[in-house]
Amino acid sequence: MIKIFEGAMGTSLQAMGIADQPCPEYASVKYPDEVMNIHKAYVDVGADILECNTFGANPLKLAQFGLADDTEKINIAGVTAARRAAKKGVEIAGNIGPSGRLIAPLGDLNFDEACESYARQIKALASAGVDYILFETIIDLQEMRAGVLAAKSICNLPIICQLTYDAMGRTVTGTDPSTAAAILEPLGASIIGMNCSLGPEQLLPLVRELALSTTLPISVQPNAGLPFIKDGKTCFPLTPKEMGYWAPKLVEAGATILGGCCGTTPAHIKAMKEAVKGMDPIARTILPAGVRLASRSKSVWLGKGHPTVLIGERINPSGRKAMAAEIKTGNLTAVKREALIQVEAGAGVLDINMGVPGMEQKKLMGQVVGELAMLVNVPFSIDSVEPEVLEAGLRAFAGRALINSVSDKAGVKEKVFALAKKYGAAILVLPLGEKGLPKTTGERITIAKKLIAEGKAAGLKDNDFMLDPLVLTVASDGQAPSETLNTLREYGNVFGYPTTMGLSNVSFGLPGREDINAAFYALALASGLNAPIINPCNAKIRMMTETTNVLLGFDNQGVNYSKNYVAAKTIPVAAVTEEDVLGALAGAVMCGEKERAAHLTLQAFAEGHDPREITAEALVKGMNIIGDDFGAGRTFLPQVMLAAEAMKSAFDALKTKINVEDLPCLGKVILATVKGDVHDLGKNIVGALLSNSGFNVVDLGKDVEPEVILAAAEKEKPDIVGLCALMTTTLGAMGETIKLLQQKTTTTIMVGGAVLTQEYATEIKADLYAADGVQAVKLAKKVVEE
Amino acid sequence: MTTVRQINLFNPILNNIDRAETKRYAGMGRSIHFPEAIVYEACSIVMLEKHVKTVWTLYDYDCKSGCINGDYKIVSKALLKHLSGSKQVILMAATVGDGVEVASKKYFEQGEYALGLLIDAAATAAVEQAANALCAMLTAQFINQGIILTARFSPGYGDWSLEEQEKVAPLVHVTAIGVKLTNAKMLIPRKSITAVVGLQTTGGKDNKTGCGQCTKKDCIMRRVK
Repeated sequence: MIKIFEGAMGTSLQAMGIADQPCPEYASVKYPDEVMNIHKAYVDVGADILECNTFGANPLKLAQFGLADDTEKINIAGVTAARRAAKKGVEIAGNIGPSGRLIAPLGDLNFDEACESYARQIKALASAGVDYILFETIIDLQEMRAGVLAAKSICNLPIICQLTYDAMGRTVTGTDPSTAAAILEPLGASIIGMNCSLGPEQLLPLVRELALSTTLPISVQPNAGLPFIKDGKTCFPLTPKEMGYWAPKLVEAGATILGGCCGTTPAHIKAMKEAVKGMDPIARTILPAGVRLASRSKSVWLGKGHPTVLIGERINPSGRKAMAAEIKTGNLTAVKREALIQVEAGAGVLDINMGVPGMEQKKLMGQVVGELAMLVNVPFSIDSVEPEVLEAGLRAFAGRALINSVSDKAGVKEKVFALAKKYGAAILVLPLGEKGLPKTTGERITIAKKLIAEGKAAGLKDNDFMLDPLVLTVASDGQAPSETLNTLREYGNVFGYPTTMGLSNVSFGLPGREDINAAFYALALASGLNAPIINPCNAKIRMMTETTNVLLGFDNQGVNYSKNYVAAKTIPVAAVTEEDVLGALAGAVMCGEKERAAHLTLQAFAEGHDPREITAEALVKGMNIIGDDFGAGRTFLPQVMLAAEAMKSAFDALKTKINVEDLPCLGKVILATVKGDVHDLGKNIVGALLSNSGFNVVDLGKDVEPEVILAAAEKEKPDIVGLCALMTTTLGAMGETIKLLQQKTTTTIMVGGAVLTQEYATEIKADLYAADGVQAVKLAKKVVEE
Repeated sequence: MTTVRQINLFNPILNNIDRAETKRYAGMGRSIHFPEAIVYEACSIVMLEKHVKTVWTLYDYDCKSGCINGDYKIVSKALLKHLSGSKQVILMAATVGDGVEVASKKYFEQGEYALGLLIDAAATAAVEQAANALCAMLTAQFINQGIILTARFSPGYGDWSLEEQEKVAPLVHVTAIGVKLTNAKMLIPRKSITAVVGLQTTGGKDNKTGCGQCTKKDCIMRRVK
């Protein structure tokens, strides 16, 4: 049987004019009979589950109305109104909506504060006797996690988790239905679903997606279509009949509980109830075997039948002094860089270890997990031997993490299993006994079996476990790698859980470690390794992953492999003959080929070309062509700047052979961004182009007082003073500066900047106006020629 | 009458910087031959150096008098037109912090001009992405009330003078995200923006936006000629 929720409460309260006294939830206290009657209207048309008028009755939200102290009273009144309306067999869900604030680091609400707020509301709802805890219209998964953790800490009631998705099928903070399932099912949700924002038609594909991703029942409460406003009132387009039309389709897609959100009325609920009468939930697909990890916006399968997933190992300060030192100063740049680089190199999961000696690891782990989750979208493996450090990471991670790891250590393993259960994390089982390293496959299997049984007793399930076969050093025990590979195979036979291991230990003490590691990696993959903990940036590992993915059938017919192979091939550069070295150099400047420009400059010099000839016939020539192309709109500023870089590198090369004074100097230019303006990129571009065209540039910086510019002009006696302003608000300062310079000097004044025009330049009596850097160089050359 | 409004903070997740937009802000308008590796590097550096924050506040708006919150009177004709039909507006600000600017300067000074230029452009793309993420979040919040948001409109667009930043910044509470206004009415960190969006009913008239509608015909970022 398909169960039916009641429809909208808020819109009914609004229609009765009691929704804003001062908030909809307070109507249960002030107008209990009216609220009861709204419920009753839904009971009369066959609603199976009522939703209490407690959507915004969490203390954080109530505080906005000065009602936080009445949290218990309002929630209990809400449950009472529903209870009074309910007939026998009708259930009651304690309805909980968003707190109205986003949890850090997305917003300013502390995770613990969110948990406490929800816990207080849930305690009141549970004590008043609801049958379900229903979270709905939640837009951020971390807020849902806070709610579920709070609910689990208070009661054993079934938890319904409904997120709100947009037309692209994601929540505001990026979660898709499949990822939501990957996180919420192990976290302890009893029913997963969606409500609000979209109509039934738009939710249908999302229900299908969810049905393929979870074994739990699915609840769906669409709006009566997308709202519009008519005569100042919010209206919803779908009629009861139309909602009835979509109801069976939602059931066929996998929904087991239906209801209505904004804009639905008893008539809509009646139509839906009748439309699904006699229908049963569909038989659902069984999820694939393996472990699923997830970040807020992405889920990853690990295990047999899934492509190899690389777990990036490089966020680990042990043995990396520079990284550890940087972390100690509070700087996480190195950690962030490692995260970005590893993900770019193909890591599907990132292992995070914050074992920095002398640091409070617990706090650091929470901070790093929070910050990295804002940067990359892969799931994390939280790596620590301290349960409280693990917990800090698990709490901060808005996803389903892997715990790395648990071993047979009494007093610790119990805590780690409890953490996995509490936070819905997967767990890596390390078959390490208290007696030390087990040498044989048999011993390892025995310990793993014991740990898995204990984990299951703590509430974990088959799809929560991963196994490590233990990698020992071949240099100290020649049979160790064989035993590891054998253990991998036996793990497959006995448990079938996904496997992981750190590879590099195998080659310790031997030369050519990369080759040994790569060979061992290939053997391990063939023996059933699914997700190595590895440096994904290592070229050999990358090659081995790509090639084995082809051979193991995960990259069908090697399509991706071939694509990457072609992309990696470099194009050979033609040899340059003596005759065309200057032409080639001009070409290198135009193409912004720095190294080639330097190389060709030295070649030209060695062949006897004079520095002036090299400058005029190659460097300036190339720069002029690119400048003309820029003026004509054929090339763009970044290309011009690349050409300037190549020119700089050519000059730098030349300076190694001759005295700087022997290089031609066209003239002197002072540059400054005027007072009040803190932009200096534009001025720097002009400076770079001028100095690489043979001018001596004196750069005074940004936000420069007129008097400072005057003093510099009097001292340096330049051919030109170039002034820059990027904002309309600083054009006045430019005018002042020109006035002062013209009173005291005869120097030529050139102006430029995004907001300047020829008209304005004329108005403030500038001598020259350059629309861009290339033109500035042309004008400057003209001035010195004259 | 001025009322104190709730200051809302939102730090959006940016998993990447839009490379196509970065190229556009760097002045590369069309598909051209340029080493993609430099664009990629610039975006990576911005990913590392950015500190994305946004803030927003909801205000009443009287479209007859053009007054926000009863005390800021809009004089820009383009903005008055843009907000016509709105009874409420959201004033917002977004920043990516000053680390990006330090990085841009550093590379430029090292002679990596193109990289410095592109970091600056990528930071612009990032702050726009942050503002877009905020608007997406707000759109989702208001859609259930039948309310849609107009496009973002910032000081400097059309005839809305940059001078107005002085009046807008305090209403946006820019200091809540570490943004300050200089005497010359510039936002610091430089890669910061303020903007207004109008809240409109879906039945309201369609206020078109974009370069084609903008009255500032000499804008260097203009997409249509």
